[in-house]
Amino acid sequence: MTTLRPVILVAEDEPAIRRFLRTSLESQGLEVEEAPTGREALTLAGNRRADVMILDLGLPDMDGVEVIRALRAWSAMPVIVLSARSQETDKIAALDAGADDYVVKPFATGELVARVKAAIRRAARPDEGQGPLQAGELVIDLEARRVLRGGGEVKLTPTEYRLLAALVRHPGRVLTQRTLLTEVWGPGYVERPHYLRIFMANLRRKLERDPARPRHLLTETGVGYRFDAS
Amino acid sequence: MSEVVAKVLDLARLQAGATHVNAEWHSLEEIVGAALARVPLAGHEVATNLPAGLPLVRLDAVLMEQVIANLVENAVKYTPRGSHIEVAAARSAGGIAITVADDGPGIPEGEEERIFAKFHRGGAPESAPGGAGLGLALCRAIVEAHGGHITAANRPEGGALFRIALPQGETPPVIEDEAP
Repeated sequence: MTTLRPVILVAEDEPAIRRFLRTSLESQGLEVEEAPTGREALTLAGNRRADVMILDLGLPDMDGVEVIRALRAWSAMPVIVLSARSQETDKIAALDAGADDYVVKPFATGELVARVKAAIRRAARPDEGQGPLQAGELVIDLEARRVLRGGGEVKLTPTEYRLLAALVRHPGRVLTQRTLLTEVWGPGYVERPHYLRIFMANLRRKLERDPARPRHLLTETGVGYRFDAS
Repeated sequence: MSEVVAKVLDLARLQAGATHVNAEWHSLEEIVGAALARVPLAGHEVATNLPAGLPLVRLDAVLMEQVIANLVENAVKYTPRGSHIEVAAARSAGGIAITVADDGPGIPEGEEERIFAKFHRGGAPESAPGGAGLGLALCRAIVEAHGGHITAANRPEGGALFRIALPQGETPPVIEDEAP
């Protein structure tokens, strides 16, 4: 029987963590390839079929951000970064370089597996040209520039719409403050994160049932935001 | 154990002034939301009361989220299943006050200040999971690093009330938007 199990490329130098990841992922029906260095990770990513890369930021031979930049030159494979709690700046740099998501060490297996599966689903469904996006009671139609909530049209200001569209174009992916500020307001605004707070609050008031406990417009504190379509 | 060590280190750094408070303008609604999303609520009812007109507050979101998550975690741990917890914020004289209240058994009389001491363990029910007794000491250190203060009291109607007072020195920025 031909196996079509998704393949997860684990780029991690600590053998104990690699073993732990292999066990956790294989128990979920996923196939695992291991790379203890950045170079091996890039070689494996180029040679073999892999659906998602789990990348430790502290590899011995290459900086994690370099690995992502090199990979992004030719591959859109989702990358989930593993980072320590204190590596806020590294995490942001990795996301800005093109990583899709991050998980903080020590992590719960359930959380990591859920993120990996979400990344596999996203990779199977390209971001654009898929028609309106349904997210709970929201329907977001980027082509028609229309947003419906519970069937009724929601009036968004042009800035609110641009911010929503920036998030919705990459459902599930963590977008850093810098990425969003640049995309919505322009490169001159990266030092004005309060713009994001104000417009995100407005969007939540218009689109979420309980803006204080959002279901779709999620905060990744200290890093950025994520649109959750589930 | 590693979490205990991390907390001891966090506390030591904060008390030595070695932790950089990365203050930016933030919405409390967002910080409370992120804190609630990471705390397992274990059958407790959690309500929020965050008026839409609250101004942005200048603070370190990562640290303040940790404080609010810690207070909510404590409320979950020290009250029976089904208890009510409320996280609220309001303007106060010279700043903003954030409160976390519950309708559980409250804080033992005379302990209201001592619970913020390092390695103090509350009289948790037998079934309550253990902790290092560092959470509230860390909360106090974080709030004080923001120039604020945190106090605990019992509510007249029963239950514990934690109150964080943060100064609002500068005026929050105003941004104009176009019409929809």
